[in-house]
Amino acid sequence: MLQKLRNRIFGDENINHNHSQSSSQDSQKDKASPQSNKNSQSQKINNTKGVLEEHTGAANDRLSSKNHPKLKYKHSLKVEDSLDKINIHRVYNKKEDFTPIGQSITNNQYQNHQEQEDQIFTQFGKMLNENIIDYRTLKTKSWKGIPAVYRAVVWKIILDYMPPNRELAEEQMNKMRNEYQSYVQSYFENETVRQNFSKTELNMIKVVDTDVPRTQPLYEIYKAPVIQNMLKRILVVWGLRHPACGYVQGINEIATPFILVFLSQYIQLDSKLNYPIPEGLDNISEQVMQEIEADTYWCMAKILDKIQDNYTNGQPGIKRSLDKIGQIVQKIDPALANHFKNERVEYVQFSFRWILCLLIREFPIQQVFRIFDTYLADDKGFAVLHVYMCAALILKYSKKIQKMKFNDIILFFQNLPTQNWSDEDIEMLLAEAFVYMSLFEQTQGHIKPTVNFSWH
Amino acid sequence: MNNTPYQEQSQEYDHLFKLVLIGNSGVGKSCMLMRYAENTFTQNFYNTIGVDFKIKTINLQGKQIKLQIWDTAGQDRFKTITTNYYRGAHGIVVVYDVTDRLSFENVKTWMSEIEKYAQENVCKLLIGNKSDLSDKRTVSTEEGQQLASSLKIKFIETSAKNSNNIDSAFESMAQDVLIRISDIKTQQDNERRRLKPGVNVNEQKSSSEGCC
Repeated sequence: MLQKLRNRIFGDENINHNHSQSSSQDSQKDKASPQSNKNSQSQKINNTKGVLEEHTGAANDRLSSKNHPKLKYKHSLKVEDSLDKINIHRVYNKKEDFTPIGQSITNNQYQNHQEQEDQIFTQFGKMLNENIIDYRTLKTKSWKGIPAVYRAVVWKIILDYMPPNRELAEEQMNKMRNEYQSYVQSYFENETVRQNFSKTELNMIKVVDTDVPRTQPLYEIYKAPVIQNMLKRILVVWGLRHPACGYVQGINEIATPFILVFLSQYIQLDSKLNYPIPEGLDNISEQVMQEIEADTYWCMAKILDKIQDNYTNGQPGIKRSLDKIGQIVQKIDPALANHFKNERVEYVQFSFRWILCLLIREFPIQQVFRIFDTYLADDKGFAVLHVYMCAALILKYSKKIQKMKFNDIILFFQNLPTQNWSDEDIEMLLAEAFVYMSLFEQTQGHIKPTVNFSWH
Repeated sequence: MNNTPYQEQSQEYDHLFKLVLIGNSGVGKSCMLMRYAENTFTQNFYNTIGVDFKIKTINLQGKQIKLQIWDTAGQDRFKTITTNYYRGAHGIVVVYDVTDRLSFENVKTWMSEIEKYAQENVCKLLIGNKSDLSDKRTVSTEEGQQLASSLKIKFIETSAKNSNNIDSAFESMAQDVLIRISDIKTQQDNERRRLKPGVNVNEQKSSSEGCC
């Protein structure tokens, strides 16, 4: 299954060289792992392998125990190549009805998988053990997923929150944590400051108060008072310190992955039981909880900095992203775009939340961690790759959607059946999004920048 | 089967009504809709981002009516996108929370948004939700009634939690839209008749002023 998956996502060297016919080598391969029907898909990806090279190499590490020869066509895709030459329509296979792979891995494959996981685990361990961590390599490796135990540290480093130099790390982090604590003291304990809150500020705090209890309601752990108080302070401080934007509903979700990941360094969290309130949560020292809170605040703030025009007045960032999604779908799957037009479906009707909440609402939190690994590791992750993720998600269900009418389409997209998605499914989606991004972002002019910022 | 301008191609229902729920954040719009469309009440709900959407088919005066209900986010920042949904709406429900004075005081602001963005004759309804929380109430029923009559719109108090008045609120809204549509249809028929020679134009003309 993993072998098959690797081929599906990243293309196979053997198949790459045999464009139209199957060579004997191919046939043998097919016997070993039946995937002849995947050839076309692999070939599609082949078209973009130049762009994908960096990630392909590493994907081999992750998804296959075999050593594949390195792909050599670094610049096979030229910027001036038109989309027609690339044949973008073949990147996405509309004939296949999408079903997630889920957790269905056989024992044999599982063992294989386990070996790779161990390998990655060792790699990360080594990297993080250095006195001065190789920031670039860490980022590149993180694109393909970070082992859960290292996730907290790696996220902090690749977000430029924790310096990669060990000697500087502690001092710098303490500085930031103290700074955050001083905000909390001023906004929550200083009566003079509190009495001078404006009406707008008080209204904003009220919205935070209504939102905290209904944040990630499917996971019990977010109902723990200690977590809710933490979340409230984070959101209020961020809102008050960014007066041009203020707290906007949906930002509450963006803090949630960080809280769990940072907390998991100190206490066992049960992902299989949907994160119940862990025993001993209240025994974690106040200082540690304060550190988790401050780290969450700064990490969330760093992400929001990159995408703040999603939240400011008029939300121009979202408008721009929605227009872009429309153009991507139009280019890759005109039939689907046409169906949307005929049914009068607009992307804003379901993709608005996807963009604003960074898909956190649409996937189990475990898979959100995996998405964040890549978004954090990619310089354009939150601002650009994310838009392509939303488009890829729509395209995945093309066949299904084209049989539906308006009402069903909206209901479907507002309640995506993603409960059984595994990390492998997410990785596939990320790979697809990356392919689209590589094509569109490099071939200027195929995506037109939004000129009209009006929603009406 | 009637052939009104509001009709969609599908044959499953006689009318499709588009309703929109608006009001401050946290007054219970999503819970009301959940109670009405799925007859459930849960503490496990999210804040609404942008718009949410539910469908319910009901039978009114022997007609199958499909209600397409849009649930909007309450925070001001989202008004740029939520007001887009006002224009196509047949009915708009303004919701406040009887335990939240501010949400009641904001009803006027919501009404002026309707003036600005919705069709002129859109049906309106004022709802005071969370009527089950009697010990926390800060807005009396009389105040709600007074406000509604000063705005010349219908008023009802509901509880999504114990499902009090939820069905009747939405049904009364649907009823009003149905009347409005028949009015428009009569008007159109009259106009059509006017063009035909030999038909008495002064026969009868229904009022085009507010149905609710």
